[in-house]
Amino acid sequence: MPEIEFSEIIVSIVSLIMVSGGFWYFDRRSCQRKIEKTKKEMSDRLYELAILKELGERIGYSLNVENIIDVITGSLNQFIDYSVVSYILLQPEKLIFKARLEKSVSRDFLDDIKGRMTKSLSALTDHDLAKVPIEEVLSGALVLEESDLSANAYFNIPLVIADKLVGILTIADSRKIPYKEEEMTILYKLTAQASKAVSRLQEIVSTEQGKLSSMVQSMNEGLIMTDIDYRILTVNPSAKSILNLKDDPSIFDLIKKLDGKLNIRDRLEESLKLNKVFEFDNVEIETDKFYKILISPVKNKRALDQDKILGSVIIFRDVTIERELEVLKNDFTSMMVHELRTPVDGIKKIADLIIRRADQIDKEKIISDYAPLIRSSAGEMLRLVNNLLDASKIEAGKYEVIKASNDLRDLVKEKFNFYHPTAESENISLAYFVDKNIPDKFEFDRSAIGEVLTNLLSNSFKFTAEGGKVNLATALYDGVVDIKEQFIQAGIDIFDHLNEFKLDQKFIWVAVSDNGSGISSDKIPLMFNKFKQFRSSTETRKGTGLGLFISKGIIKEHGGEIFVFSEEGKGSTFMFTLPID
Amino acid sequence: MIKDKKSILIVDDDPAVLTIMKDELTSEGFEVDTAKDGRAGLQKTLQGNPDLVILDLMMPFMDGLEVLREIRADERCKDTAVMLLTQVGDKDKIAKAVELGVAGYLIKADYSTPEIIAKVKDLLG
Repeated sequence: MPEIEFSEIIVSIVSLIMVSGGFWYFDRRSCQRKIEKTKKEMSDRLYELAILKELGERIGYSLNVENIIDVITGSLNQFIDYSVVSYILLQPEKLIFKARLEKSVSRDFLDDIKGRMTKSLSALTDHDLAKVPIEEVLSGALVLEESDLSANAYFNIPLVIADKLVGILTIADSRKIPYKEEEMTILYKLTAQASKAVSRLQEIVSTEQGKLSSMVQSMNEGLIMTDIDYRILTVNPSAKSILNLKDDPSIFDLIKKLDGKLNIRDRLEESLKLNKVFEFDNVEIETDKFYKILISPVKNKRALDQDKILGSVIIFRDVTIERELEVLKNDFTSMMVHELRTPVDGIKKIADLIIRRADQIDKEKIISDYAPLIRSSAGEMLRLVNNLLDASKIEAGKYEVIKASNDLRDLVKEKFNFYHPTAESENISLAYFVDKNIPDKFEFDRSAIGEVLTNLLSNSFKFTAEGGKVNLATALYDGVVDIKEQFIQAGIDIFDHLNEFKLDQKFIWVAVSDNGSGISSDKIPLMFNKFKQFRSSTETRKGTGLGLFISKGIIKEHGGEIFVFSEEGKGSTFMFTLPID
Repeated sequence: MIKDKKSILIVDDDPAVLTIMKDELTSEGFEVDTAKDGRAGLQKTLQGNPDLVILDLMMPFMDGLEVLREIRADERCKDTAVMLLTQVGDKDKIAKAVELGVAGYLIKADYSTPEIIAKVKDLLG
């Protein structure tokens, strides 16, 4: 950055001054004879440094070659004698001739050096510059009407920046003695230093500009810059695609695209006039695509034109996902409130009933009807809280399964027995299949796998109507057996998804299959997401949506996989695998 | 024939609500039937045309709004009094239900049983 460069320059100047100062002191003591000469040299050197320091400061905020050369010409007379110092700068369509008069000279004198300089420049650039218009700026002493003084002593120094000729610097005097070599050397040094500094700075600036521009180009946010007359200066690719703009769009294209959504013309004007940043949330540019739009004036941060407004920048940030998350969060909160309120309200109302109608109800009814309801409501609440806890553990990667040697057949049988009464009361046929090749015991977390089975079975019952069927099955895939045949035998429909299994290794699979309502294909990929809740008029079902997320976490911890195969209207199969040696 | 007891059908998938409301309203002298999902609820409404249907919104197989829509579409039941008793406070759903015609809309946890009974008595005069 230029600022860093500048401080480096200062540091080196200060240390140079200190070193020079030390030299000077030493010199004076040791060699009286050379005092005067040394003094002169030192002061010239210090002066050079002072000019360089000033150059550094100016360069810190300006890359304007004219300004920099003005610093040199403005103070050169301190160590070289001349009547006029002048320079010509090459500009695209013209030349700039600037002369500073230390002594009054005639118009002829000036025209003479101007002509000579143009000629030199023509020779250097290999172009005839005699016809090119020249803009002239004079400063310093008066121009005399007539004078017999002519430019006798004279020399040119080409001005080169970043290996490119930008102009020529000349000093001229009416004296008859030509300039000495030391004088030329000083001038040469100064211009060379200035040129070097500017070249380096230009390099840095162009690198920075390159970085900035590639950053702007690759930004996810759409970015448009305008000048103070609302002309569009920059549009990055993101902005083009967000607004569907053609190449080199005008401000009118932008106004048209945002018509009815945001009055961009008026907002830009306000932003510039009031020097104020505006933010607009949730502007729907395309259907269901929401953007945050920021309009900000761009100010010049450099020292000279501090706070001068250069134009505006408009930034478009896609907030569609944030909005979706917000909706999801709200859905989740209201779902949690609902899921908690239901059992709490149930318990409260049962207790209230028992108290209010104490003399009407007999003890048996409390035990047979009300106590079980209180128990199941409390159980529901406990389950909900446990689910929340498990989900947050899984999310944080802190869920641990405790594997031990367990009997899977026994667990599957237990779950079957548990759901049997539900199946009977809901008139759903619950079938059960256990492959005889399943090992008696193998390593898994019994309570965690039990929870997965509960989740899968309760889901199946939730989505299967009276008269339907639910199949619970488990088998060993030994790498040899025809797994397709195995599924058919167990009554498990995988809806032609055999290709999803890795058949080069052994595993145990457990499946819960139903002929219930099924899942639409667009929703299948979301099944194991946290807090997934499908909102449609026919699918307003209770539940936290956490069960499958937790199940996936548990199976993953076991090194297995979980699948869902389904067809809308036909049914669903949820299946998980457990690796086995 | 004039029925001596007013009939009420409670449609809810929560067994606690069904048990409590059935016992409470029976004690208050109503003839009470229950259905544990939307589909069964619609069927019983169309068959028995009760004096009042107490309807939940979130239910399996057919949600409360759908049941209400079907009831309103039926020639015999289009004027049957329906009271929503639900946990859902969704404004869209309230608006839709009101549009279809409901005699009342109660959020379960906001009302005590005696308050609900009072509302029911109000409706059945």
